[in-house]
Amino acid sequence: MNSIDLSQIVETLSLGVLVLDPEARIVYWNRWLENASGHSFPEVRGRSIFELYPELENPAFMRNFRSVLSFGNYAYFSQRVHDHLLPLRPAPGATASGAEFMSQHCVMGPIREGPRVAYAYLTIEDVSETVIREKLLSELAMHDVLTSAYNRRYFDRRLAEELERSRRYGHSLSLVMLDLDHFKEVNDRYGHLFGDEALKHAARVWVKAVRVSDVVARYGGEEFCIIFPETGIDEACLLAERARAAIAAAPVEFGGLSARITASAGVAVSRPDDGSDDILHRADEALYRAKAAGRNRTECSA
Amino acid sequence: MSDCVEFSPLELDALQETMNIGFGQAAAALSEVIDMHVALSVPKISMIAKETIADYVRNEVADPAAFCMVEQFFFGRFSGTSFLLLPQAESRKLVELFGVETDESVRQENLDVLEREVVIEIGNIIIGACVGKIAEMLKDVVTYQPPRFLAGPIEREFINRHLGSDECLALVFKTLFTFERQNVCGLLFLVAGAESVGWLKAAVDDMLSGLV
Repeated sequence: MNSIDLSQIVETLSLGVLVLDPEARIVYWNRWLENASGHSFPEVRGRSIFELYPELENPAFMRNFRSVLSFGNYAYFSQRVHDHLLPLRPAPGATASGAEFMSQHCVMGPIREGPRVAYAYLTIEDVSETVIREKLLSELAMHDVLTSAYNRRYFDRRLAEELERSRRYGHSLSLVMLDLDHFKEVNDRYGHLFGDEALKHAARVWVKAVRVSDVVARYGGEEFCIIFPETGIDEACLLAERARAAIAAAPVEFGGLSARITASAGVAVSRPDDGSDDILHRADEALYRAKAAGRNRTECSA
Repeated sequence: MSDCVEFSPLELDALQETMNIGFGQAAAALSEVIDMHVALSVPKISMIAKETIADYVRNEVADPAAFCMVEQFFFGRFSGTSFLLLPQAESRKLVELFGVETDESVRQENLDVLEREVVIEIGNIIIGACVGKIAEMLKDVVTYQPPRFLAGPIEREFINRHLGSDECLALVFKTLFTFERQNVCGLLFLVAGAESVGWLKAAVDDMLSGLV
């Protein structure tokens, strides 16, 4: 049987295909890659891939490339870790065209001549559209529509995960429960639109007041929770107090009106056998003490 | 049981010796590939009834629930399945060890995803090294299915897939791998399916006859 000329398929695939020799010189470069990279095959033929894309010469790529050459196995470059392997631009006109790079899922495998691995091939799949849709969906699923803080569903899941993680690694985890003081009166006096603005304002102020790794969530109504991963009670109390002071210092401005709002805060730290309800209960008790002691203050549970 | 392949003591010795060399080469090549010293223990070879493999694997670790696992099938004349077991708590050490570069926000939100992907990546390379070197010594070429990550308990049904006939014994190779720099260690099991046990025996016999 005559062998079929497979290049007719490879040239028209909606997939980047390139072949490297053991010195990482480009031996093959399909039409998809010519389009996506702006480099024609004759232009790149025989050149090292690292000369074209120096960022590729990183430990993760190198160990996988060497593994394919030495062991003849396959390497998978997950979009979730690497986002993109080659710094290619997103396809023009696509939803993802606003992104800096095309998100990619890449697979590398061996091409043998006899038993010897003579080349490694790399396939590059454009997964930008999927990634964007996934991001959008997870944004919607994770965030509170009004305030853009994390929502209750995400908070519940994340707290359970963080408690599990803190058990696994023996760190402690802290939590603050914050409640806007006299919120009903704010609503009654300035109207519900102003009340909504106050909630958005509080979420913005608190996200800014704490660390990037802390999780600010709207727990319900005018109540918010912040998870402080890998944080002991003393540091958590400082952070909670900083959050309380930040809101007291920044009045809400909306529709020509301005009002100072305050919040009360209750802080709790995890204990080894805590479930979500246990730590939440202690934070809630501390919050109750803060309210009872006159509001606009932080109480820490021992 | 009459159709099942059995190894004579001489054949088992020869197989053990071949595997010692294979795993030795795999360790050396592995260290070069990932640019870090990796030790592989001398493989322990056992003939085990298929339905007891899950128990065997479970018995090798103190707390099976605390382990995550990477599974990968390989196909050649030498074909079967591989399981790499790593304590859950060590997976973060792997992230540190192999310093996957991601921005800080990804790192914070997706540490679990990141840990999983790094375990898969490194597991894939370790499995490739061991299976690849064994295949090379036996003059075989193998291909692989993509590795899969499993965080759940080690299930019998799960381990028994793709292992072929029920009656015959499967051949299991066990090795302990250690990244010395971080003192991270885990276990690798390679299970040859019933069909490749016959081929392995023939390959060993070939080697033995070459020695006479």
